[in-house]
Amino acid sequence: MRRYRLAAVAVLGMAVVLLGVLFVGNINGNLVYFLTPDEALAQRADFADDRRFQIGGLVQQDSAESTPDGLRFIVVSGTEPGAAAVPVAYEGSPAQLFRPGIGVVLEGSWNGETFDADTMIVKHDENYRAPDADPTPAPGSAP
Amino acid sequence: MISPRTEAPRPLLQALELTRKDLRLEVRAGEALLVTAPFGGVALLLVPLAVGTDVPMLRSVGSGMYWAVVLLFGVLITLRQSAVDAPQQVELLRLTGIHPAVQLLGRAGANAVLLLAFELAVLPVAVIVYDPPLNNWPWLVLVLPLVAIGLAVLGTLAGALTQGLAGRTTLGPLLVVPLALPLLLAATQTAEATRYGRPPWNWLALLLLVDLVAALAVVLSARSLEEGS
Amino acid sequence: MRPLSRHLSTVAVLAMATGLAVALTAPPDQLQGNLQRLMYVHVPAAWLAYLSFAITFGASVGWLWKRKARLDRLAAASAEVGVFFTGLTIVLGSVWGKPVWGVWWTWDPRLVTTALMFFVYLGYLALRRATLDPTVRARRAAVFGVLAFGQVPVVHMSVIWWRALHQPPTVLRPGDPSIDHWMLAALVLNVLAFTAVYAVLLRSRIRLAADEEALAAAQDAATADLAGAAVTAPDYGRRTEPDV
Repeated sequence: MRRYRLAAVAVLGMAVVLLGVLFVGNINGNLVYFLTPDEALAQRADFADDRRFQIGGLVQQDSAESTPDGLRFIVVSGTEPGAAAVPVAYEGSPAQLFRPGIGVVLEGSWNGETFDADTMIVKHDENYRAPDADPTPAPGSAP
Repeated sequence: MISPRTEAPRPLLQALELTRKDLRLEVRAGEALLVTAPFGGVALLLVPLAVGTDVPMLRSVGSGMYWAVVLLFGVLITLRQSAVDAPQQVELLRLTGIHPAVQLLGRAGANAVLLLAFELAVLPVAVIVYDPPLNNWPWLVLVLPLVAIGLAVLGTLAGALTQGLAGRTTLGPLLVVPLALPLLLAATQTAEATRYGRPPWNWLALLLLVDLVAALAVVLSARSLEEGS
Repeated sequence: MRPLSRHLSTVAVLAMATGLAVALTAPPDQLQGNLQRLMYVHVPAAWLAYLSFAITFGASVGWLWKRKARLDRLAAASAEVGVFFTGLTIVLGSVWGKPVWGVWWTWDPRLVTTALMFFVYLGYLALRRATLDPTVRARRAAVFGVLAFGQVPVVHMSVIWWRALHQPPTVLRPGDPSIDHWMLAALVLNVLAFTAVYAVLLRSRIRLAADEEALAAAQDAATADLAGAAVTAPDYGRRTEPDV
């Protein structure tokens, strides 16, 4: 029986190694809930104009303007200058908490250089602040 | 079945012998391939009628539908074997002194063979009805057995947990199908990854990991699950 | 025993009342406004789900080791309470998600893994319900209770391992909690209050299970008496598993 116990330990070791490979490897990159704007631009060739996917980023300051059937704005990967930016044409009424600077996840597909979205989910971060409790960098603080 | 000899056969041979027993029973009854496989085919045929027979859409959901049917109906096949075990058979196996882990692994082996056969039987139906892109077919040679093994081991575990219960054919799937989600994801994402020209090694590693972890869970819990312990 | 339990219920009621008062008076969130107050019930409910499944896991391991009926009752009661609070977490999260995210449900890793956890433990309860013999039930439930717990850490880590819509942990993380301290106090108070309620529920469920077992034993004894001493019923009904 000892040989079989050894085999069980070997299987356990293999499982641990595989788990490590999966964590180091890019499995999280293959199954993601949304792509960031820089990833979306880098993988532009994979996504034909009719292939739907989700894109998630921050709404750029002063980029939102309303159109007859929705909104136009730019989502960026980060706040630093030079971050990847994707122009978005959103069709529908914006989510309740939509504002410049907030995180959004949009569902839709490429249309040339712009991203045509028809579903918007506002991504709330893990920070909770009382109004006027401390000076915050978040703009447009009055709801 | 057991030839008279002075020394007990090695555990691996015992497991193989148990696998052969289960397969021989299936050959006589024909339950998995003559009943469950046609039922899976019917499911594949009905879904397009429910969601609309839009050819490009069906082409894109075909591989996902196939794997969902394999998962849901494959569990029934794995539970079939423990359902036909009479109490006396279980008792006899225990009296022969075969280690419970060997019993379960033998059953898992038979289940894996049956599931692979089931996958191969349903595959043509999915191809004909949905016409999914098939340029990635060589990967199926790896994915089909890995999914069959993982589902077989999980189903064997559910069969052992529900052995002898009245509601086992509905209870067993409830126990196993949520835990089989990584198998479903890996199988469908392999197709997705190869469609865009990326080798799906990560997903194959995930399948292998699920197989190994499930096998370990069976081996480690077999002793505790043995009746009368 | 008796006065202690009465105190526990009083403590739970008082803690819930205080928790509710603080949750309603804490400052609203800068962005979400009053919607954020749902956090004071959603997070404690999720915490209780983790806690009760962890206790089921511990009691299952304990049963496999010591074979005490008490541990089996503890595992069962805890899983039942845990399933209730997992369901409550999902419903409350959904109610919060509709106004804030804009959807009731989305295919986010945290949401999917939580739903799976809910169904797996529903399966655990169904397994217990389907098994009639107490020893067989305890053994199988203990094995499944140990195996099923493997996914609970995945639920908690899902927001860190995968890119998710659900916010990452605010409090249970290294460093300073990224939350206003007044809100944090309200959250902690509510977590404590929910834990007290959990203790009350767990205790009454364990007592109920013990009473049910006593009743079944008494009924068995009564029917055995009816048959009289001369005619004894064959003993392969309740006490021994027929297929063992």
